[in-house]
Amino acid sequence: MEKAIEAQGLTKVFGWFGKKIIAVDSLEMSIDSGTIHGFIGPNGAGKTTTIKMLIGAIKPTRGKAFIFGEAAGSVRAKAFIGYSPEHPDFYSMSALEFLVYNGELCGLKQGEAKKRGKELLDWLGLSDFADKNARKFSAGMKQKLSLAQALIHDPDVLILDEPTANLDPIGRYEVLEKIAELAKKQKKTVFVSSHILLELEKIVDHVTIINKGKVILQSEINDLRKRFSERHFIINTKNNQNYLKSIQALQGAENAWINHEMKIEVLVKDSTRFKKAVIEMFRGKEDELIELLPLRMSLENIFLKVMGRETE
Amino acid sequence: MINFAVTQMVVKKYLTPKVIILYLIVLCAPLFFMTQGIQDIPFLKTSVLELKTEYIFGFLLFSGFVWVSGACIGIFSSLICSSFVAEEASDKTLLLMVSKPVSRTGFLLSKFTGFLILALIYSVLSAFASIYAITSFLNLDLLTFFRMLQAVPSLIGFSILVSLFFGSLGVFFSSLTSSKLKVVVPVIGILVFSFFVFAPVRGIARDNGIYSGQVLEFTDLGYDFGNLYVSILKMNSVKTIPFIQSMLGMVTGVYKIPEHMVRIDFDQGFILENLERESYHSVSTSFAKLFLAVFLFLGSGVFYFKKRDIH
Repeated sequence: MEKAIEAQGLTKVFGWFGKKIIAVDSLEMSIDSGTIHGFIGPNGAGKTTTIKMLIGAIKPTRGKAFIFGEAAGSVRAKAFIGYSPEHPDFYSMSALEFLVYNGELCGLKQGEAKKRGKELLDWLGLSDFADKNARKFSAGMKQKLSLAQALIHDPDVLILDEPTANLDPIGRYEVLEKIAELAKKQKKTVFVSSHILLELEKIVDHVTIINKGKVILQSEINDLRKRFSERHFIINTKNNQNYLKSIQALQGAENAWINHEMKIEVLVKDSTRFKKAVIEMFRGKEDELIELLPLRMSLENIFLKVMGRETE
Repeated sequence: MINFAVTQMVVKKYLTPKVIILYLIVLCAPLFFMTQGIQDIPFLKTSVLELKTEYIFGFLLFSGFVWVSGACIGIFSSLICSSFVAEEASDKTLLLMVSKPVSRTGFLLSKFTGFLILALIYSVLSAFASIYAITSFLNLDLLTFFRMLQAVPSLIGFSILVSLFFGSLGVFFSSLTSSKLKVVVPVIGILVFSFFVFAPVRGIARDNGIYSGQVLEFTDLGYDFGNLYVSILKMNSVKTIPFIQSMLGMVTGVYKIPEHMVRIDFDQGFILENLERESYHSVSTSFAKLFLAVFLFLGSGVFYFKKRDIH
């Protein structure tokens, strides 16, 4: 598959001499074309700095990045991308004028830019605000307009830095739904960073976790879930307290406990042997076993696990 | 390389009725106070019309140098160019702009092209507005008004040179910082120093013999601007009376100042001799210095902007 975004040893060091801060440290990353890629990490992990290096706003100290093979920051690379920052702000002009200006900056003719701008405002539900001063928009409207300006030249890659920051739940839902629609219908590559992992996991198909400027995990989300869920089971019986000790003692089980839903959660060494042992245990008394399921790990749980901060 | 949308945006931003009116008020307010002073000069009240016209014309040329085509347009230029990078960076609009498929060099030069168009428009506006204002404030006749129109090409030419210099200086400082204030303060400081503050320093330095051949001579912007202004007047066949030569000499050092500081034709009808020019460097050197500075400031501005991280 064609690579939409690649980073090779991307490094950014801020400050001078004694006060050096390594924001991004030899980052290696490869994003396939046509995927929705979540870029997650704790505060100060280097997400925004990485994104700014990809769009050419920040010059890397070392390493290289490419957008469809073009050096990040070059005019050719920037022609492929549409970028929306975490806190977008605009000139004091109407929303449509702003979109037309952005379109013209991207090489569109005024007429084309106006047509495209109107389409985007309509798509994002901002048609009624086309003539209103963009600077006076609410946070949610600004995020939508920022998405519109990123899409004005119909780019192949969308780079979105916290597109749902400062939005209420409805605003978050609307923006994420639009992003998902873009990727599915228009086959765009979306590279999105967000703190709200519960919502992000609904749209992403790949994920990169970054911490202290380094990539610590990059995977397809289904593989990731499988990998983290393989050793984790949920068992529900008619009397969980009674069965807890027996389950702890089963072959292949490593640890078992009653979770907040009052179900038995089990961490296993060998999932095949464990499943067989459970089935043997309940043979003849099948009605006692209500459910035996591998635990579906949320992205948030996986993230916390990867970051070494288990919640339970 | 030039993106016309960017150029157009700069022109549209500073060519609104609000900005034009504000500019005209700022331009004309000092002229109003200066003309009030002129009306009280006793000998002008008794002068013959021809001489009075010459003095008023001379007043236009002097105020043209220090204010109309000098400080006023210089400050305006620095205000426009300081917004190119610094204001956009502080307003957070620059981040979006640098993500667009336009090179940073192209972006900045497109803005500067917009500024050049504005400089031309405002130079023309300044020249005509100042002449109209002086004519109105002094209740002058139509003949004097037409006499003063002779200064228009010189005022426009000098305004453009001043705009170029302070505009490019604004671009340079703007590329270094994200605070408009940090751009405007040093640029206006250099302007005030060159046009007003350096005059006494120059006088003392010349009297003590430490001016010529020293760094002072090379960095004396006031002298270079004066040198260029006088040569532009000469190119346009605009003659200055000794009184105005004395005034220009005091501010810029381009004329040798007489003992009594200014030479006034108290004896009406008797034409005084022109003052002798101080030729520290030739007009071509002053031109070369100015254009070199413009290219240097603009080039450095582009260089730093290209290198700069945008947050």
